[in-house]
Amino acid sequence: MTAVAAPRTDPSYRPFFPAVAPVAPGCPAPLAPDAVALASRLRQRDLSCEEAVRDALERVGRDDGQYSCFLGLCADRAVEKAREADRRLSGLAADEARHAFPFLGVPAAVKDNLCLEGVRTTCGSRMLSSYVPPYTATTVSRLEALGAVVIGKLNMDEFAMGASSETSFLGPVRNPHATDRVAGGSSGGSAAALAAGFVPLSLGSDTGGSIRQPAAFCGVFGLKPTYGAMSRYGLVAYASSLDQPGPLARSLRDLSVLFPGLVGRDPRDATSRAPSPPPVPDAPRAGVPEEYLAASTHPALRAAVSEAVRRLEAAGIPVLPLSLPATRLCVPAYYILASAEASSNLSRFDGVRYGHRSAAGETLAERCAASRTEGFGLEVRRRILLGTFVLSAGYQDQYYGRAQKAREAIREEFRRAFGTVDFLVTPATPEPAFRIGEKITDPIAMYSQDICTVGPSLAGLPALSVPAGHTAEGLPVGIQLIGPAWSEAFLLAMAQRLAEVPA
Amino acid sequence: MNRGTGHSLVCGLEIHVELATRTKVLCACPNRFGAEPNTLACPVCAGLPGALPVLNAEAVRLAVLAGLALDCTIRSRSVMARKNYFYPDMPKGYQITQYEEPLCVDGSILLDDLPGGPRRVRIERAHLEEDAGKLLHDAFGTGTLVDLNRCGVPLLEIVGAPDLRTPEEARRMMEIVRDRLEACGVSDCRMEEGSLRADVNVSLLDEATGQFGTRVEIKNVNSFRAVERAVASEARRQERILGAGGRVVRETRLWDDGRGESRPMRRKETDDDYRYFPEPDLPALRIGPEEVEALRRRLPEFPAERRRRYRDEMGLLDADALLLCRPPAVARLFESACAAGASPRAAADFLRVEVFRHLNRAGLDPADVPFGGESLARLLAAVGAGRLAPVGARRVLERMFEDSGAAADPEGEAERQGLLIRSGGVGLDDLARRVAAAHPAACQDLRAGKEKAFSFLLGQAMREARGGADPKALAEALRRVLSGPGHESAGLTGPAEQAGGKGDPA
Ligand SMILES: [Zn+2]
Repeated sequence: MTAVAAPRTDPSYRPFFPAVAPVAPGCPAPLAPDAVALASRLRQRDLSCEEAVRDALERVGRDDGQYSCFLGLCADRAVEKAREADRRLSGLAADEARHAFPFLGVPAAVKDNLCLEGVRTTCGSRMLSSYVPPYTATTVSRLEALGAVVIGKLNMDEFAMGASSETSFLGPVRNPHATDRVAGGSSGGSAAALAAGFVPLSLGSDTGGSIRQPAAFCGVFGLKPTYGAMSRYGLVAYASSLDQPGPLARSLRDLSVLFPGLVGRDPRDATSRAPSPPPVPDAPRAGVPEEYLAASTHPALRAAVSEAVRRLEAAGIPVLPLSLPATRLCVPAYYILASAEASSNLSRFDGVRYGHRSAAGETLAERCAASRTEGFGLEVRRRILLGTFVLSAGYQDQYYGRAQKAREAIREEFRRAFGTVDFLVTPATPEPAFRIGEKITDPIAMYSQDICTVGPSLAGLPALSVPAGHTAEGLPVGIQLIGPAWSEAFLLAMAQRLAEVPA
Repeated sequence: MNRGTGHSLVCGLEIHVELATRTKVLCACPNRFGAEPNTLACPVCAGLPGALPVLNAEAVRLAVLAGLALDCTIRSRSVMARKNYFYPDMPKGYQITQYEEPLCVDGSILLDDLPGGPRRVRIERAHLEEDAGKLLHDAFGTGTLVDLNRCGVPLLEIVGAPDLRTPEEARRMMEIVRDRLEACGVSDCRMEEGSLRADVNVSLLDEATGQFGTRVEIKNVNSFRAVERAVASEARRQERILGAGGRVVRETRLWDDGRGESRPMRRKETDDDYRYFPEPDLPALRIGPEEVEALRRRLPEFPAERRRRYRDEMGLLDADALLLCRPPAVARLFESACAAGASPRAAADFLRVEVFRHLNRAGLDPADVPFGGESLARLLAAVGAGRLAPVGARRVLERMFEDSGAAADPEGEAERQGLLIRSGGVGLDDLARRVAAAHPAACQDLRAGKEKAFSFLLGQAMREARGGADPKALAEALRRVLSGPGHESAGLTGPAEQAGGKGDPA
């Protein structure tokens, strides 16, 4: 199918569809290419879990000054957990260990909006700079139940609001592929820590692209699951109807092993559900929505989609062009709905009940206002104000109400598309990683970064960000595979097919 | 309520009922009143970042049951919503409630027992929501502290239509709602503990123009009597203002029951903007028709019907029927006593006089009665058969509250205590002889024709019998003994007691 995209021999694009993504050039080689390989080394007692975890902590300590992937390490806890893993390994046959704890002793890290009992959880905000949760997020518990050892908390845009990880109160995450570039956001630390080789696995959260876009910018895999697949209990809420935790990894097989262990109904999250995957199609068909191609401002992204199309066709998978006109509604609907929910979710942070408390102000109202002004960064304040406005009496129908209708239309459009094709191939981002500071003062430019990713978020659909090569300057570019609800395993299989086609 | 001012009263109640679930509405904390502050709180109650609510299915069931008890339609799909506002007792910064799509709609109840005859009033809606915490002002000399125990207690907010026309109707509506919800066990409905609360909305209708006046809301109305008084007081206040050519201001007022008047709490020039939107953390609430019907079958008889039945079918006086038709524990005790053979009137008398007296004195609740109606029926059977006098029955009743053995066998207990009436013949004669022998002077006086002496001797005999004798039978025995020959030697007779025991059933 050649009508779909621009010629794939664009001089700005160098195709590369790895099944295991390498760390960024110049970063020290990791102990193993991916988590599955490392877990296997640990099971063979080739090295101990404690050594692996100490190695990760040392790498972070030595090199993270360049990237700011981490907001905090929990070294003592991690070493303790690693020793536990070593004890457990010595009591298990390798085969048993592989089944019960597929990542036993493998260092991992989680985005700093996922609660870990007794470990500071800041959401990248001054507001929560001293918050230590008394409980652990379900998703983090599940990661640990697979044997992984959490070594620390990862940097992010403040309260997950942003597409560049520049709004963190402790400073921006730098892209290991080019440190003058952003790592993407809001899960910038989660993606960059993999690209830098600090850990092979991480958890992020995705509200409008916050896993997929940084994964694309950093050249790693990132999965935004079906809404409800992974528990949100213990994920500090930004926009509850859109937020979804998800895994990032350097290999497809890591995600294939990791994801089933993270999903499932959680009695503490009423929106979580047991997975119900659709039947796997015998002869899958792909679609390329023209609106997503048109949204890509950099030719390398369009070329990457063309290359993906060529590979799919070479693998015998037909690719159809199609149109999703409601795509133009995605970004406005997303910003209205997400901001509305955020304005409510963040109202508890006022320095009275939670969060940074200002010394300024005489009355309660003044004190709250001062605390919120000091505690929140500009972008968070902008979204709280926007969200409060769109929910206000007299404006609610015009904004929030219409955005809800748009969301329904977007959902319906995806439903129809999946009547024709089994998955969609789009660019993961409009352009590769931009320069730090380039868009931070231009909210509209920043918001339009989300054009490729907010659609599946609004529709609650799973989407996988797949490394697809580089620009001429060596910046990673990524494509996105979108499927119907609960098609994660199928999307991972399709990505594997892409990687297996000879270049 | 036209008092010649050309205005009539328009009143509507918003009633909050705490649902008697085991756990709170959005988390697994126990739903309990009166615990130490902040001992019933978890990350969800405290609104900790990342914590999520999960709707308690039991709360939904009780809310549906309550809706059915108020003759509401139960909507198959309803939506939880966020009501955003700031108050320090609400940790999340919003309340989880229902707004555009409530669970129960379009109900009504019949107000009976009114001077003007029964009247039907509408219930606009009843919806499920969470309660807020409680502020403790200066309880520990440290300024205001927050107790989160009440956070997340399930509430049903019942919104009555502005159909009430007199203060008495307002009170009656509260009572009927209480009666019905208490009967289905959805709440203990204790206004003094705040498990039943009312906000009262009052305005005046200009009868000449048909124009509705400005509505004033009164909060903190904490008893049935206060509902009636608050409505009457507010109507008078508004009449005074209008009578003086003034304008009623839209506001919320706080009822001060001690002073019998309300005072302004806050002015409301415009509606508060709560920025309601559907709660994204909770999926829409769906209830199938089968589930609703199953709950409808669980609806009990309500006190009003029960009162009619007690009166018309069981022959109670209306006053007794009213007294026994609620709370449920009382009705249960009464009915199980009747079912076990007690005569309804005797059971009613005994409950009204003896059981209630004991409960009052001991400061107990009807639900605390440790025995069932069968025990009561056994006790009443002994009284009815003349084997136990009322005074003795009271003593046995007291024991029944303390001792399950006594409750299981009241007559045996009476016997152990020597309270059984020595019925007729030898036993009583024996006692009479003993008394006569102990008081020869009185016997002398009686023979001399001084009837007062008989009263004295009877009194002594009653004391001796410790309530275990029927006064009439004892008086007869005394007459018999005193008029008979050789009574002076009474008391020395041998124990030829208890007739019966002969003639084994072969
Ligand atoms: Zn709780």
